[in-house]
Amino acid sequence: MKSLLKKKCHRAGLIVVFAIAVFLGPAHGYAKAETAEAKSECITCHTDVKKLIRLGWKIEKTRPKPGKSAETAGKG
Amino acid sequence: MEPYEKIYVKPSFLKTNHGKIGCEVCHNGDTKDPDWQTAHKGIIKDPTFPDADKTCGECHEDITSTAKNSLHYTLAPFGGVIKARANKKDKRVFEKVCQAKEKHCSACHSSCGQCHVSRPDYVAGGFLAGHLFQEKPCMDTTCASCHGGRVYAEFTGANDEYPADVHHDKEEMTCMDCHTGKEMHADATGVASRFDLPERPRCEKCHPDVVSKKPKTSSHAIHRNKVACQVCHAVANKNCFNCHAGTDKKGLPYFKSNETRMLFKIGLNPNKTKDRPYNYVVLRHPPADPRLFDFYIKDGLSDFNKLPTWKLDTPHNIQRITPQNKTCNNCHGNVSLFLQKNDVTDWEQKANAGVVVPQAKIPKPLKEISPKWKP
Repeated sequence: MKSLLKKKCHRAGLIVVFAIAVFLGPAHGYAKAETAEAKSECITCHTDVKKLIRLGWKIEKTRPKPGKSAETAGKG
Repeated sequence: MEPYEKIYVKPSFLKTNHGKIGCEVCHNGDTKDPDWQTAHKGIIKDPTFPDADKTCGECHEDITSTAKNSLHYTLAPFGGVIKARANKKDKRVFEKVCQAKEKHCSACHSSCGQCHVSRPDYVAGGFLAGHLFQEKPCMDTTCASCHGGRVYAEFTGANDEYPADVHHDKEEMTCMDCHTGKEMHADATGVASRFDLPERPRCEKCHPDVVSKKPKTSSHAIHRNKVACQVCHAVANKNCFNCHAGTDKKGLPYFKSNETRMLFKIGLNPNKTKDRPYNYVVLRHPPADPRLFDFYIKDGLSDFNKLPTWKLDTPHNIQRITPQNKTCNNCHGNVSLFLQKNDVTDWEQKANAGVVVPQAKIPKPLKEISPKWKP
């Protein structure tokens, strides 16, 4: 009786472990990929609109763009 | 375009083949540095110019091998025109002309990236679609950035009182329907003008009947190989005059052109070829002027008369019926359509001697041809 219970518990345990592996496996892989992406500071910044807007203001203050000459007149 | 939009990368780009390549592979920079200023040290904004071989060429070698010598990349005919007109006897003067050309003319080039990823540098760049590569760029944001003043305005009907090109208006065609990738990427080494590029668009590709031995329309049989298609089917184009270039107090380059006029002028074909055997072509006056670079060097363009200032042109406002083709005599005997000596300023007479139409070569008025006439 005891050994039968043991076997059943063992089987149930395996099922639970398998289920956890099935559910968490891909998610874990996805998380890994996300981490790899997040490691690139370029991507972190260039996909964040708010960050880009704030940085844009900062850059504009310190390094205003030269723009086009005001002396240009007529069509080129 | 807002500054952030120019550099915002859409997350969907990261799932594309190009997006899976690390940023630093093409652009350099330090991907692990959280400080944007030091991270951007050594950054390459457009890794596809001047040499696309090490970026695009890694996978698209068949295209970059010719595209790096294409008209958009090198603007070679532009340099050829300046060189033909420049003072080549005085080395110092010639060098100054070349420097001015670099400063003013060479800024207009394009590259793989400046067509397929972002707007051209000439209009201060900016991604077309969050760094997503566009196989066929949108003509309104790409082509129009550089060709907006004349060709694009003609094609889309932006010039008041002049209709849009029938190909745009009725067929909803875009620039790329005629100007295919084959033409855009074609090697233009040794090509003196865009009209000499073998891959250029040809009307007869879609309208073969016009050049057939027995065209359906009598006027095509009469005029075939004698007049360029645009002589009958284009309307007035934009002509510019008197351009002067210089550098302002801030060191920024500028240009000043005096006037812009919508004109339709037919001239003699200055350069007949097997592909272009016509006696008559449409002309356009570009903003050419012998004093163009006087700010940098006097008499820099001392050979200015070597080339006509009224140039062969193919206006992009094609119509089936135009003011000049409504009847035979709307053109025949209509002196005002043809470039005359008095249309040309005194200092341009010599340069344009080969394109001005003498009285004897203006087609004589005719009795109207019977509609039953057959070639």
